[in-house]
Amino acid sequence: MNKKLKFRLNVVSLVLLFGVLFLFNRYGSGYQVRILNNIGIFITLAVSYNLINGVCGLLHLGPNGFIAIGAYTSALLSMTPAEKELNFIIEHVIWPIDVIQVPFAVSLVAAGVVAAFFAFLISFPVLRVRGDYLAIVTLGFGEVVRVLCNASQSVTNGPLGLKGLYPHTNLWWSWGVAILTVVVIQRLINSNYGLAMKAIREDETAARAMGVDPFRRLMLAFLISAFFSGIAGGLLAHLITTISPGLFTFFLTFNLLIMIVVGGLGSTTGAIIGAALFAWGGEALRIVEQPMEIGRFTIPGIPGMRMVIFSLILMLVILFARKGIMGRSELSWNFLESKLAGWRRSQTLP
Amino acid sequence: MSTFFQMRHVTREFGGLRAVSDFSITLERGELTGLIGPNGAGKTTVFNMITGMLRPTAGDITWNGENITRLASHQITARGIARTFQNIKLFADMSVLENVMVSSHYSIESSFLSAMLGLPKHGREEKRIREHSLGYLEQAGLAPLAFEKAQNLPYGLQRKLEIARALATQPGMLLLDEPAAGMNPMEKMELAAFIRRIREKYGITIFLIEHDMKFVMNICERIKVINYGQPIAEGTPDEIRSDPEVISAYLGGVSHAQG
Repeated sequence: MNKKLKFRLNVVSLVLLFGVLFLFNRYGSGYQVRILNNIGIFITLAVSYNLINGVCGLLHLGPNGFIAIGAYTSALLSMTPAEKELNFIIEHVIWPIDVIQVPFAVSLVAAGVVAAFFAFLISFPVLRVRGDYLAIVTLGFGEVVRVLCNASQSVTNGPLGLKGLYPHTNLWWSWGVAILTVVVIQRLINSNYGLAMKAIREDETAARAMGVDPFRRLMLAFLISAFFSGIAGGLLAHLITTISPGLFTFFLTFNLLIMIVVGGLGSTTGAIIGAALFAWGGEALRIVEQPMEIGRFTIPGIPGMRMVIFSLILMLVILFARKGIMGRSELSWNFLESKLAGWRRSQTLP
Repeated sequence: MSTFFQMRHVTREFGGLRAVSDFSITLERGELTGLIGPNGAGKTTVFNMITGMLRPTAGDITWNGENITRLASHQITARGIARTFQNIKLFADMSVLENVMVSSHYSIESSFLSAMLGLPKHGREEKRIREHSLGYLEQAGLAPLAFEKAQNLPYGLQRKLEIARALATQPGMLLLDEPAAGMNPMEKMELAAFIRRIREKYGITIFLIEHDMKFVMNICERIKVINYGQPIAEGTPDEIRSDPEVISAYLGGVSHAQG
């Protein structure tokens, strides 16, 4: 398939996507828009998380820490000094946070940069270890960030959290960032840098023997992943408009892990599908919690039933597609073309 | 002129065990040298020390006049020493071409940012790496399998791919750790021809570990023998064949077995 055609197809699908978003933005209910926003943010989170867990093959369990850092950074920067005054009732917020206010876009970039800076700091202890040990160190990091958010009253307002953020996040923001993340990270994965990261995943000793410096490459992946997680954290803060440390528990990491494992570890398409399924599926399954009539029987609504069904679906996916929905393959135009060609052949054969 | 490659009095201890003791060797440009010895004699440990995977307890290693004893393995590769592994270590889930393309990573010039933004400069470099890598695959006769996953290759071809991948780092010296292990006589003959060919084409030094005596005697100009971590002999294949110490340590048993 030639480049020109691919480019046209990309443009057409982007236009289609934005058309759909435009329609929902105009005519969709608040509930639908909210779900779409969630999907966009979770796509950013899952795709950037997949760069570490899927592509580099590290079991990183601390993205909740980076999301929290991003959310707080962006929220503190975008609030007006007056709003901060209102929020911080127990202790006054420290200088210079109390006087700064920047536009939303700037606060998002700052969120990414601050998260990446923290990633830089912890990459020195984290990248010294591998496997289960790395999982424990990063898990600890996520927890430390949450506890620090709880404890540093004069910066984060402690357990009270930050309330009344302006709802800057709309469909354009959440999906714009999601598309940017997918394009940029996918480019990286397909480049020689991505090859080096995959080589480390496949066999670190061999990668070193071929001249790849694992520390530098893994740190690069770590920083990029944290950068986009931080931005997504900022978007999340301005979508929910209220943040508190309780929002960024290990449960958030756990959800992200489910998304990328169900979608297929190492596949960006998989991460997108996983994020969309998770954000939309959880809501779509609310039907099962309503009272149902089957023939003469009436089943009363059981609260929590959707989580049971949801877990069952996850188990089925993993049982029947052990490498996730996509495995490690990507849904590209070339992939579609070869599938289509295969389908055509099967049609022409008797 | 400084020596090409030299190991001086290199020793490695694991706890109380001396895996390699007082090992010295000098290699010249373009030489094809074999390292032999019974199982557990410390041959792979020597390779691991050269490539920076293990630090010698004592002694030093120089390459082109530079002391590389304490360098990390990726730095040593970047300076021109490449290796293959005794137990094949390919990037199993990556394509044959991608396996070889990783070897160009250490010399990549465009930054990760230009990769992420898809700048034309990066695109040109990717293309250059791709063509460079395909060249090595052709040399090894693996070009038709370029888009196959490495793990799906038959054993003999996996060994060849490992050599192609190591060559793609453009080394001045290539270390082959039991390249002929598990191959049938046909494949071994082919491999010997391949090794001679790459030496001629790239003019590189080859240092290899091998258990198959016939293979080593046939291909190497010089052989070094170690036993229990101690170097016991060094010389041409003929000298080694008639060395009484070598026969008692090693060759005696083998030549009986071969009848």
